[in-house]
Amino acid sequence: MASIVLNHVKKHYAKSEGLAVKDFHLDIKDKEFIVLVGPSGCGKSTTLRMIAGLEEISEGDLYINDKRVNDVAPKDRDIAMVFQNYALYPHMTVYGNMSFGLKIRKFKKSEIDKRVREAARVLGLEEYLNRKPKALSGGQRQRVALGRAMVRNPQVFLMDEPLSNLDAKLRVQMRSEIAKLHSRLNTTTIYVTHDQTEAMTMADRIVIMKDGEIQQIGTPEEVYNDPANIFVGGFIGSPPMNFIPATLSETHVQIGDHSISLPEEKLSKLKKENYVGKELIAGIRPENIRLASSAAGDSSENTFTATIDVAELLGSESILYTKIHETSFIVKTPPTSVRNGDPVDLAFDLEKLRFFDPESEKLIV
Amino acid sequence: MPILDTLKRMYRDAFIEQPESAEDPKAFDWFRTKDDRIFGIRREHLSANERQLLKLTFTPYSIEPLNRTKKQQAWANLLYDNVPPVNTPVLPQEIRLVYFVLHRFEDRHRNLNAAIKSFFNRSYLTTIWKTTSEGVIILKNRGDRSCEELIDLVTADFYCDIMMLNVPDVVVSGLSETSSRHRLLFQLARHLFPNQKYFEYVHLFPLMLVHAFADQSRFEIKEWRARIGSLPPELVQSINVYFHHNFNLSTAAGALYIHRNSLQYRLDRVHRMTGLDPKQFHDAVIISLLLLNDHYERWAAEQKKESES
Repeated sequence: MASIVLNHVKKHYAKSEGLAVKDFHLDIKDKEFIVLVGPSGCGKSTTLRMIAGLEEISEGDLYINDKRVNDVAPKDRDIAMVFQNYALYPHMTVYGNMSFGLKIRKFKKSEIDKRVREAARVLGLEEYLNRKPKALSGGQRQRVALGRAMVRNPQVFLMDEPLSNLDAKLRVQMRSEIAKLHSRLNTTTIYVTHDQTEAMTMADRIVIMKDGEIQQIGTPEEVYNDPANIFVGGFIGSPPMNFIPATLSETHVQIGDHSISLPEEKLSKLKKENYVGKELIAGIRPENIRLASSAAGDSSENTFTATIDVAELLGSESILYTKIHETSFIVKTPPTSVRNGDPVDLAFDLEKLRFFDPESEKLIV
Repeated sequence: MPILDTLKRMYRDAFIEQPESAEDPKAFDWFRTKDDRIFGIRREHLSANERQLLKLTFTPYSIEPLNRTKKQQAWANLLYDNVPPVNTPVLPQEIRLVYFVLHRFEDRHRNLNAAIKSFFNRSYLTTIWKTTSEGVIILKNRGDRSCEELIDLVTADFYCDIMMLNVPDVVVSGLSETSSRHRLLFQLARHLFPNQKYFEYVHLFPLMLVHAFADQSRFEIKEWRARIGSLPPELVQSINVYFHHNFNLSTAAGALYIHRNSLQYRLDRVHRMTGLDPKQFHDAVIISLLLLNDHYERWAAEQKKESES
């Protein structure tokens, strides 16, 4: 098992280009499942490859179990990698594929057999050991790819978009299988994905990256409820957080022609940070907006009248697409019979309202 | 590369670049940097610890011909010296070549050969190692097995970084000349796109053009180069992603994590700044070539500066 520290790690490929990874600092605890997530080109795979030793670290230090490993060869870092492609030898059996890495490292036959059979048992592949990859389903092939990594008993698993080649249904299934496998093996795992749902469902902690920079590190709940900036608010969550311009007065926050009384704690924090008379960006999650009702104590103050552009009934919930003061809004409610074109009153849960600085885009409160 | 300058200062006359410039290359330990510079240090000037440290930082480079079977040697003669084989079975007229360069490879070459052979199976002919860290896989010219999967396999099994260039439909006659062109292009591609691991030969055709006409284009398209060169990185990234997503605004905007309208605005800005519309196919081709040319020139300038210093 292993703890990993990336101490202000930077990566640049050429002087003429900018940094591919900027000042990456992260402490990963033993047994932790860390997910690096972000849009294309954000530096997540480069970071993973630096941990593996496949890319040199331009600046900074990498420690595995308190040992600086910048100059340690990848094969001596006690890691195992799983990639997006199934990466199997097509003409070898499942057994041959899982044992190949151990064979070239000159492990004893009996040890190889023991490890392969144990991994096959854990992954439910025992009855397929004599089959070749083409006789397996996509999910089974990906399990063999996991098995190839497992037989090494590594200190760290590094996974680079391992589910990207699978169809949506299989991806959901494999997601939970990898999570189960992690809770069983307790091996420190670093997992790269562009899919925020994978990140939210699998991670102990998520590292959200953009343009080579860490935007936020936190548990799924933390990054969802208190996004560090507008980017994180929009990237994490599906549908994403809604954003709308607002202005702060001494006593209220103004959104369009609505004057809203904020909870005291939020108002005093905004005042303390000198935002009175200044512009803000208000952010609210779709599920924190509801169809207004007097029974729920909604008043005209926290209620906005809008017309539904599109209403989607998804069975257990409804997604309503609308506009408030010319800004597009998405609302997630319990199932409702509201139809396209219907006028509705929407109420904000003011406790869940977040405010961001329009220039720095950082969360204020 | 500052580290090479430091080594030069440390080892003075015992340090040499390029094996060809050494009177007795065998008296040196040779290493290759990630950007393909070869340097050697006289053996007697290196302690065991220093040698170990250099091995960790650079890829050991062999100037000795690697042990080859008769078959491998015959192919190597054809590939590098245009010497046709004698008394060997009839060669195929066309073959597929997969060039590869390894970084941080510390395993046995025969293990990697076995892995490659197992991957390609019946279409496999042989693997020729040019040095301890680069070579070419020779395949029958059929089958379309993707080498990308092989890259992942090699990385996972041998813990090394590998880059590949796939060239199908190679005519065997005149192989050495064709192959040296392939190798030059592969070298350029590796330098220009260091985080891309896999290249298809046909996709490097634009790079071939840019390289071949580098001198002329410097003057002939001066104005256009200036316009493209003035685009901020954010716009360049947006165009590249938009092209990569086959002109699909929605998926490109999704990948960039910006709103569709923001991407539309950025593309309009490119149009205004360059006079070329990235949404029109013909203009898009020219923009793509100009961007590549700009990238190439920046790299070439950096190389020149480094060699002068």
